[in-house]
Amino acid sequence: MTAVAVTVAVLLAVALGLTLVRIIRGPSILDRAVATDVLLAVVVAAIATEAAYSRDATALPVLVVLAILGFVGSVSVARFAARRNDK
Amino acid sequence: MTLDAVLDVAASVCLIAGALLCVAAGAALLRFPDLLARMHAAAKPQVLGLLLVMLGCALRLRTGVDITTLVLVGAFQLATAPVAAHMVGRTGYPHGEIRRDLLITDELAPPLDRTSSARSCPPPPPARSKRQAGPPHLSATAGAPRRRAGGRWRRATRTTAPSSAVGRDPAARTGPISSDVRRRGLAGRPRGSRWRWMNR
Repeated sequence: MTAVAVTVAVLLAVALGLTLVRIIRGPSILDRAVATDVLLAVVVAAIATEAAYSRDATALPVLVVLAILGFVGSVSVARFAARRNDK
Repeated sequence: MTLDAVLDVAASVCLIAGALLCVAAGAALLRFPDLLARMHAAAKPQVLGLLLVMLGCALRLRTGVDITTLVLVGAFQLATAPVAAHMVGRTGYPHGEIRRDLLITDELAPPLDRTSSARSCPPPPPARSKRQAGPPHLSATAGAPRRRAGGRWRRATRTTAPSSAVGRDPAARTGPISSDVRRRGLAGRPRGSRWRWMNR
């Protein structure tokens, strides 16, 4: 199981790096909102992997909170902040 | 091979597949050309990868409360990812975030002419000012109220005078989308050429 955990950790770290590059380079705030959504989903996957690795369900409520937070974040950015782009 | 070992192997496969899908979503997010494609990467492979990770975690934990929590997280992702993607795409479309030369079809163009003219329509050109005078209580000040006055006028024209050249001919439709294209430095092409794939 340790090899699986290390593999998943490396893959998720690569995904986090790619998503962070998009957040930094994103030409508009909507790209950044989408990339932040993906970033949060990758973090959720990482926490779930940690819970699966250690058979410890302590962090599982955090997953629910993060899922709700990602949705609210991207929707509120799309709803309100994007108008600032429009000159 | 006991049941525990089988379930652990299945959980490992699910976790690795989910992580691979997360990497695919990240790479697509980095390499795809415009907002809609990136939104696709964020909406579909990312959610599938997350569901696979949840499945792997549930196979590994194997207790009722934890599986309920994980199912809750997965159901929430499935319910909210389309809504978030829809809102992002709907917001990005009239703001010029989307490369229209990559679109195969543009079903949002007629309704977005109305929606975006209410939001981001530049002031109408003065050549057609006979029909473009907004309501006086809206065009009293400059800036955003004037733009909104243009939007009001456009919607009123669509509904009250549909036989005008603006309403009928799709090639002559001068909505704010083509105005936006013109403003962004792609001028010189004929009218209606936001369907650039047609003119090739």
